[in-house]
This record gives sequence, C-alpha cells and structure tokens, in this order.
Amino acid sequence: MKHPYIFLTCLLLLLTSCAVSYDSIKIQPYQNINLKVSEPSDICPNPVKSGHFFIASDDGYLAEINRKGEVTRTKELEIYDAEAVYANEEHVYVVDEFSRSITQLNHDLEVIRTITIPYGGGRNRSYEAFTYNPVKDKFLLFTEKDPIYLFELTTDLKIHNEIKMGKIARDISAATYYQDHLYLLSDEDKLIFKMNPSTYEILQTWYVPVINPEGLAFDENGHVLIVSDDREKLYFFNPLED
Amino acid sequence: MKAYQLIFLGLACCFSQLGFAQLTLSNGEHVLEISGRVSTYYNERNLKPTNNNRNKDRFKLRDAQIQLEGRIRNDWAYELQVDFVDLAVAGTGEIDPENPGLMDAWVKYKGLDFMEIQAGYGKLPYSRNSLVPFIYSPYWQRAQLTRGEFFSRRDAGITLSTTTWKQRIKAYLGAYTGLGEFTLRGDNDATGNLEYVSRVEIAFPSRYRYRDIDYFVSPVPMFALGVNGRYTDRTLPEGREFPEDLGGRYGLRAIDGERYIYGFDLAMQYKGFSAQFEMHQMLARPANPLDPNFLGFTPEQTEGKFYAGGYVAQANYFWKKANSIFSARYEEFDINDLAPGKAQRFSPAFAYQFSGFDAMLKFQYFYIIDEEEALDSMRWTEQWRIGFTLNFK
Repeated sequence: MKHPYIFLTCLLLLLTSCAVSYDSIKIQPYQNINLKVSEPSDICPNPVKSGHFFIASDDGYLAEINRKGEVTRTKELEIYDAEAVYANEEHVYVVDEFSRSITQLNHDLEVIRTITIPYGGGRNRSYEAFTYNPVKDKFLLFTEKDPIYLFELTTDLKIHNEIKMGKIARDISAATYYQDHLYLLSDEDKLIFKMNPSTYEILQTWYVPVINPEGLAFDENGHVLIVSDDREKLYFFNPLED
Repeated sequence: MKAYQLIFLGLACCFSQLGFAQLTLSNGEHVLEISGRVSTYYNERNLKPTNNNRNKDRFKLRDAQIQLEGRIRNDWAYELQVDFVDLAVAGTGEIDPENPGLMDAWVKYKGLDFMEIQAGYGKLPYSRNSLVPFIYSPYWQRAQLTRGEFFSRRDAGITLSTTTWKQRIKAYLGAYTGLGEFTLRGDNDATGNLEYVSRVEIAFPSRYRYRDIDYFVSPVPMFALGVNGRYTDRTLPEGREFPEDLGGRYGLRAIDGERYIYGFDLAMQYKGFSAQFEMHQMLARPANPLDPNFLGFTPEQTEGKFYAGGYVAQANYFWKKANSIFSARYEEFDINDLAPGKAQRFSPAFAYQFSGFDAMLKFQYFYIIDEEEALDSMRWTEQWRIGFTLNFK
C-alpha cells in the first residue's frame, strides 16, 4: 500500500469518534392519513376539545384538525415559519423559528401577545420544539441543532435556565409531555426519546420509520401521533412499550 | 511520518471537539444569516513518464468563502456568496467554471402563490449533479462532465420556478446571457442572443432535496427523476469573435452557431445507500464550415454538426454509526464524436464527519482509465487529495 498513513488516519478517526447510538425499539404505524395542512411541523392535543389537535404549519399558520385529519379551524398568524405548538386549558402557544417568537393565543384563536426570545444561531437551526414540564413548572424551548439548547422558561415566558444538550441527537424536532415523562423527537435520527423530566436523562428510545418526522403527540388513549412535514401525513402508532 | 501527516492527525483530534458558532441577525421580519467555508487539501499526482511538471504536488487552499443569505418575510430572499481564493484567480483573467469567485448574487421574489422569480447571477437549473451544493459532497472535485467544461453552471439572468404535489414536482424555466461564468468579465458577446434553460423533476414518495448522500438514512426508498434541456444560438456576426477563452477547455461552452444540450438524471436513496446517474448530450451546429470543432472534416462528412456528452454514475453509503461516507464515481464522456475514443474516469472518495457536513476530513482518488487523446491528452494518470473542510454556518 503506497499511502498507508491515509488509511491509518481514517481508521483512527473511526475508532475514536463514533456517533452516539442507542438500542432503539422499532415501531410501525398502524394507520396514516393525508393532511390538508401544508408543511406540518408540529402537533399537540387540544385539551379543551376532545379528539382534536392543533398543527403548526411551516407556512406560518395554525390549524386545528380532528382525528380523521379534517381541518376544523385555521388561524393565519403574522409569522413565517411556525415550528412548534403547545396548548393547555387556557392558551395555545405557537413558536416561529424565523422571528424567534412565541405567539400566545386564547382558545378562540385570538392573539393575546407575542414575545421574542433572541437567538443568534442559524436561521434554520433555531427554535423547533416547545412544551410544558409540570414537574419543574417550566416551559421547555428547544433549538433544533448545532447545538441543541434547552431553554427552561418561566410560566411568564422568561428564560430561567439554559442547558446544552450535547450530542443527544443530530437534531430535535418536537417535544411533548405525557404521563410523567418528557418525550422528544429527532427528525434526522428518527428517534423518540423518553426522558426523566427532572434530570433530562434518556430512559428509552424508539425508532420511527417515517420520512421527515417533525411533530409528536399522544392522544387520550396513549397512541402516538407523528406528523411528517415532507409527506404532509399524520401517522398513528400503538402506545409505546418499554 | 511527514509533517503534513502529523497536521492531519492533529486536526482530526481537534475537530471532534469543536462546536460551531453561527450568526443570524433578525428584526423579526428580515433575517440575515452569515456563513462561510474554508477548505484545504494536499494533492499528489502520478505523472506520465513524459512529464515532469509537479506543480500540483502540494497544499492548495480550495475555498475561502463568505455567504450572506437573507429572507424578508416570506416575500423576498437574497444571497451573496463569494470565494476569495477564486476571486483572486479571476482577477488574473482566468475563470474556473467550477469555482468562479462570485458564486451567487441574486434576489428572489416569493410573494406569488404559483411561482418564484429569481434574478441575478447564480446556478442554472440544469444537471442534478451541478445543483447539489458542494458542501454536501465527499469529493474534492465534481465529475468532469458536470463541473463546467461542457456547459456553464452559473450565469446571469432570470429564473421562474414552481412546485406542486407537495413539492414532489418542480419546474424551472430561465433565460440567461449564455456566457456562463464568463459573464463576470463584464460585456456580453457580439451575438446579442440569450440561452434558454428548462428543467422538470419529479420525486416519490416525498420531495427529494439536492443531496447525494442519504444523511438522514431514509426509512423508505426515495426516488427522483429530472429532465432538462438548454438552447442557444450564438452565431457570430461576420468579422466578430467571442471573448478570449469563452469556449473553455474543450471549446464547447460557446459555439459559433446553434447548440442544444439535453439530459436526464436519476437519484435514489434508502437506508444510507444512495446512487445517482445522469446523462447529457450536446448537439452543436457551428455556422462556419471551418469551425475548429469540425476537426478539419468536410461539411459532407460532418453534415454540419457534431455531438458531445457522456454520463456519470455514482454510488454512496453513509455509515451513520461511524460518521463516515463512502462513495465511488464512474464517468464516461466524449468531447467530440468526430474524434476517436472516449474518456473514462473512476474516482472513489471517503469523508469522515467531525460535525456533520460542517466539518469533514475528505479523501478522493482519481484514476484515468482512458482518455480522448486527440483532444484532451492528460499529463497524469492518477492522483489523490486529502484535506479538511470547515463550514461556519
């Protein structure tokens, strides 16, 4: 071999710096439906309307759908790239990656206020996931990648703490809280992470064979709902088992 | 161990620990992102016995780029990208079509529901391989067929584009100066004619981005098919000549007469494997029977035309657990069908990702299987390049 040092270098690199990997359980969807929401980027249950969900669109609007995927309401917003949505009994929150803003609405979908949380990261590598963590009584706001930051916000949407999540995944595309645990979704790794909501320790991972999974939610029966942005589809999975 | 080997090893250890700062300025409606790229490699060539010019056996700074990319609401987008290395070279009058110095300077209006309009200088919607951003490549050089010697990759003009069926179908139509990257020198040529380019592509089961590597490890097979064509009539008025070097290395980039180029490309990816194939053919009808592209043949022999073109096939595997890309490329091209022989080249590449595509160690090997000796005799038989690339974005 004429240039053995090249291959030696490559081998060394392979051995010393392998990617983070997990022993994940592969799950398969039992149903999928086409959405009439363009570029859906996140989903969350509507807690005041059983069987209904909010979906954020990359095209800058909020849609409400029923379990059949039919659009029951839409709300155009003065934003350009909605990437995350969360709703509690009082309010709906929509996160815009483009302007780094959070828009707070009531359940009549009237805008109450909009606040900006400046972030200097890449235009398309900014806020991507948002949910509420009742264990810490904090909202959780995640950046997508390079690096993945978790901003813990007070209930008044002020930054309380920031945590660099390290190489947990190549990106984070959604976050939700369900039955005492925090769940994250990674689009690029196609993984669901179950986490301890106090320590953010990863407890379990599931592999999701879906193109471009951008939104994650659980329904009342524990079924997992995942929206695919590129395919504009909603996928249904059976409840997760450890 | 030589000094540069130690440097590579040192860099390899350092980069795995790096995080990457980004810079975005925003006022809520207008976002400006500043990014850039530096890449450098060491090159070594095995020369033919008849040649002793080892000017390429050393380090080369390939890229030193700054990119400003902006969006104003959902209505406007703009991009300005320059490469300082190539800008310096272009100042001497030489323009490498793969690395022309000014890479992008355009404005796009996105306010219409059915169409986007882009004006300025940028990539032409022709050839999938050309459209894949180089930052996502494990190679140090594009295939010879698509790197700008057969057809220009950039030009000044206007492009209309539209998408439908959840972005699975895309269509482009544009009109350009026809000078390609040489439009940066200033004046147009004497023909007064434009070049027209169009491209249509369809993907399934979802939109397919301009990427060669299946970095996201697609869970289902994905496919894309593109067809494209371009036409220009650059028949010179009597007594006029093209600006110097406009024809490029093979004399094909500007023909004194009519020129059609048409081609198609296929791409697929699944579970980290990906492959691309594309083919192009040029039909040229020089106006002057004594045009050098006729290679001295009579009009009866040539029927007033000649063909050029070829194909590129590439296969890749992204080994996610090892942060590694393995790729191999084969291409065959004919510079002029009136000359005997065809060129064949083989080139494998390896890239190790320290931080995705933003920081990579890249290795590429070039091997010339055959050459069209009458038109393009090479002074080397094989070469390799190894170096690193760093994107700050």
